[in-house]
Amino acid sequence: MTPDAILEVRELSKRFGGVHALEGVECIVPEGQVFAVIGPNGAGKTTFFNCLTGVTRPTTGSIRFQNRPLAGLPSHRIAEAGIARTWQTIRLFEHMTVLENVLVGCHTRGSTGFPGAILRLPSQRREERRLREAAMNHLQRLEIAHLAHRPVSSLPFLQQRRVELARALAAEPKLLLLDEPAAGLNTRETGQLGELILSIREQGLTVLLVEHDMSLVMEISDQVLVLDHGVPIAEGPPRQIQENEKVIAIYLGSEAL
Amino acid sequence: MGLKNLTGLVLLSLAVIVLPYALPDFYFKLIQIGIYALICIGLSLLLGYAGQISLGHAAFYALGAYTSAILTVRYGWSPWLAVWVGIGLTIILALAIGIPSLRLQGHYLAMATLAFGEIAFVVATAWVALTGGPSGFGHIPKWNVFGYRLVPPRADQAIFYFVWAAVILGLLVALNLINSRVGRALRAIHDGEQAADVLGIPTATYKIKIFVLSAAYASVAGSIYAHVSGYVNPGPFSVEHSILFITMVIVGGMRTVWGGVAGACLMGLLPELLADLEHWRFAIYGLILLIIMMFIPQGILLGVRDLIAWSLEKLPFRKADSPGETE
Ligand SMILES: Nc1ncnc2c1ncn2[C@@H]1O[C@H](COP(=O)(O)OP(=O)(O)O)[C@@H](O)[C@H]1O
Ligand SMILES: [Mg+2]
Repeated sequence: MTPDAILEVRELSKRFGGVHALEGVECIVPEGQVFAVIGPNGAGKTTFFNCLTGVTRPTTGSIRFQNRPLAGLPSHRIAEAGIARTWQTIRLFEHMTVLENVLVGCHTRGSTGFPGAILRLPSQRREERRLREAAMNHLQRLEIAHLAHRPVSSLPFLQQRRVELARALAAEPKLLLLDEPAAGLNTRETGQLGELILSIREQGLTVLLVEHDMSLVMEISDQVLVLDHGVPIAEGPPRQIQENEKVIAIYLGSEAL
Repeated sequence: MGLKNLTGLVLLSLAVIVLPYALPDFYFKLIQIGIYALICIGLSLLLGYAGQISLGHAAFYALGAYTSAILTVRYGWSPWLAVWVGIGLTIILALAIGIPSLRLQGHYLAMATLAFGEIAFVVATAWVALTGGPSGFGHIPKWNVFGYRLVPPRADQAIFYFVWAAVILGLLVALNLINSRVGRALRAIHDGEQAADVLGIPTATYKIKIFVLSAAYASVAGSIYAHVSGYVNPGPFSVEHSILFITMVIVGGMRTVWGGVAGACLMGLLPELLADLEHWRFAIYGLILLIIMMFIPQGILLGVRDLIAWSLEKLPFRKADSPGETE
C-alpha cells in the first residue's frame, strides 16, 4: 500500500442481478485530499459509497482503509474504524431533536452501556456532558446551534442537510463520504459548502465527494475519478479530467463541464 | 433525566403514598394493575424504543411467577433469591429467542415469541409434576420486607406500597436508560436502522439487549405476583394476556414509558368503571379502545398533553412560549 494512502480499492465489482453497478473500480485515495467521484446518474457512485460503508456487500474486490481490510465488515465496525457519510436523500432520525441527532453521531466517541446508563454512574454523566459539548461545537460550526432543541422534522431541507453533515462530523471520522451534498443548494450556498469542505480538509480529514455540480468539483478537488455504467473511465487532477475526451463524450449534450 | 420526568416520579410517589388514605375502598384494585404496569414499562421499551413486538411477555411473566413459586414452596428458598433465579432463567430464554430472530431484519421476533408463549402455556398446563397443572398450586410464602410479612387481608396497604415501589423503581431504570447514549441509540434504530448502523451502532446487539431487559421486567412482575397472590395457575399467563399487555402499551402511548403505566391503569380500571352497564360493558370497552387507537394514535398520555397544550393556546390570557422538548 502506498505510504500516504488512507483508502485503497482494488477490482471492486457489484452486481444487482444482471445490473453491473460497479465493474473493476480501482482507486488510491491519499490522506488529506478531497477526492471526487463523478459520473452520470446510475453510474454507480452511491453504490460505491454503499460498498465502502458496509451498506451493501461487494460482489468481488478488496477495500483497505488505513491498511486494514474492510470488505465484509458490518457498517458499525466500519464506522468505528473511522468512516462517516451523508446520504443522497437525507436520512435523519425524524423523532429526535437536532442535538439528539448529532449526539447519535457521537456514538463511537462514547462508551456507556446498559448497566452504566441504568445506574447513572458518575462516569456516564461525565461522558454525557463531554458529548453534549462536542455536539454543540459541531452545531456551532455549521451555524445551526440555535436550532439545537428543535425537532429535526420541523426544519427546512437546507437546515436538515446541515444537521446531517454535523452528525457525520460528530463521529470525528478520518474519512468523510459526501453523497451529492450540493444538490438543491443555490450558488451562494454551494460556495459556502465548498469552503466548509476545504476547512474540513484543513483539519486533516480525507473527503470523498460525489457531486454533480462540476464547478464545485473542479474548484475544490485534488483528484477526480470518473465512473460510467460502473466502469472507471478516467482518473486525474481536475484540469486533466476537464480535457479528457472520454469524459467530454459522456457529458456531451449536458453543459455540466 | 430532565425536570419533567423527575416531577412525574415525585408526583406519582406522592399519589401512591396518599391513595390508601384518600380512597380506602378502591386503592387495592391498583395492586394487580401495578403488576401489569411493570410489565408494560418493559414492553414499551421494546415497542417504543426498538420498534419490535413480543407476543410472549405473558410467558416471561409466567417464568418469574413459577420460578418463585416452585423455589420457595418446594425448596424453601427466600423470595428475594428466587426473583434473581427467575431473572436469570428469563435472560437465558430471551437470549435463545432473541439472538436468532433479531439478527434478521423484520418481525421475526413477534413470531418466535408467539410460539414461545404458546409452548410455555402448554408446559404450565401439562407438566403437572412441576407446575401443578391446570389447577396450579398455592401456599406460596408472602414477601418479607424488613422482617415485616406482607400478609392479607390487613396487609393490603403494605402490598400496595410494595408493588408500586417496584413500579416507580422500574420507571426510574427505564427513564435512566432512555435518557442516555443507549436510549438515543435505540431511538435512532427505531427511526432508521441503516443510518444508525452506519454511525457505529450495532443494531442487532442493541435490539437483543433491550428485548432481554424487557423480558426481565415481566419476570420480576411474575415473581411479585406469585408472592402477592400466594397462588399460581396457568390462567393469567395465556397469549391473550400478552396481547392485553401490548394493547395497554399502545393505548397508553408507546413513545414514552409513562404510557405503559397510563395504559395499564386505564385498561385495568375501565372494566370496573363500566361494571354497572352489565353485559353492555364489553361492547363499550371495545368501542372505547377502538376510538383511542383510531383518534389518539400517540396514546392517551401524549394525547391528553396535546389537548391541554391546545386548549391553553386557545385561551386568550396565555402566550404560547414553552419550547417543546421530547421525552
Ligand atoms: N439495491 C439495489 N438493487 C438493485 N439495483 C440497484 C440497487 N442500488 C443501485 N442499483 C442499480 O445500480 C446502478 C447504479 O446506481 P447508483 O449507485 O445509485 O448510481 P449513482 O449514484 O451514480 O446515480 C443503477 O443502475 C441502479 O439501478
Ligand atoms: Mg447516487
